[in-house]
Amino acid sequence: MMSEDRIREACKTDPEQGFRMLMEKFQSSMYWHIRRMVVSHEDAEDVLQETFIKIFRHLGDFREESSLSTWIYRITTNECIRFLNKKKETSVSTEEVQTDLMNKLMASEYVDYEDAMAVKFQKAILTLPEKQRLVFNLRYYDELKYEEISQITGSKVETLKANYHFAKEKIKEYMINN
Amino acid sequence: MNKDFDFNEIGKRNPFRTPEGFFERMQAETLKRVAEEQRKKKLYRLRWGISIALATAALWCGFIFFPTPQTDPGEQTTTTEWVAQADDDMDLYFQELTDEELEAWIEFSENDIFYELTTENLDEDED
Repeated sequence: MMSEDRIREACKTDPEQGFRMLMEKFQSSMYWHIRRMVVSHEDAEDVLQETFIKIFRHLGDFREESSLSTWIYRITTNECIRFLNKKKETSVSTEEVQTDLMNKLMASEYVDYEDAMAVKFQKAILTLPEKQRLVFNLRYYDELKYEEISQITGSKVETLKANYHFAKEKIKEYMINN
Repeated sequence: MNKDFDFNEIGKRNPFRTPEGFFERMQAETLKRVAEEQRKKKLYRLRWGISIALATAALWCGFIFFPTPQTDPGEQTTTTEWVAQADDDMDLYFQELTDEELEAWIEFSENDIFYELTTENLDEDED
């Protein structure tokens, strides 16, 4: 597996080659992060491509104030939020967006409905407010440190810890009662 | 009844799937888009370069063919005199340039097709 240092070096000397390496290393984790946020595969594909184009355009702006992976997660997360905000603009309420995401989860060609428990778990996650859902996904699935999530979301570590705690409690409750 | 949910039961398992060969296709499509963007960027730069060259050529034409009017309105000036006047003005202008500026001008005129055309036309006019 190539290191972040090698990718950073390649991005400086040959941006196109560096970008290829970056895609190779991060595309899977980026896709799954987006997919968990936007639910539908088709939407995740669009958001992923837009995110990559943005990353390529701004490769020169990366100042190494954070790790490359944190920088990429931040751009990816912003693109997810931008996508969801766009949805909100055309919806009557936040609940409508949530219902839409739930419908996409329940009627997709690319969801394995045989794994009923995993589907139920995703439904539980979808009941969370957007920010809690984001924090839960980044911590639970991507196993990021709170400090990294803080750099990505701009929230304080204490707030993130509280968000994660409440998210887990709500998921637990949903899994028991449904 | 003791009901609890153990997160370890589910772990990181999720029900989401992707189409066959999705990541390979995705990478190829993204690289295609990036290449297209790069091509557009280069074309945009080239257009700008040409626009600047055209504007410079137009300025030169204006400078050579429409020199500053004479102070005495009663005095009639022929085209040959205008060109001679322009040549004098240009000589003065070039005299004021530093060696570096002159070198830059030479390099520019050698690479600028519009400037070449202008000087060719001038030569023909003189003949």
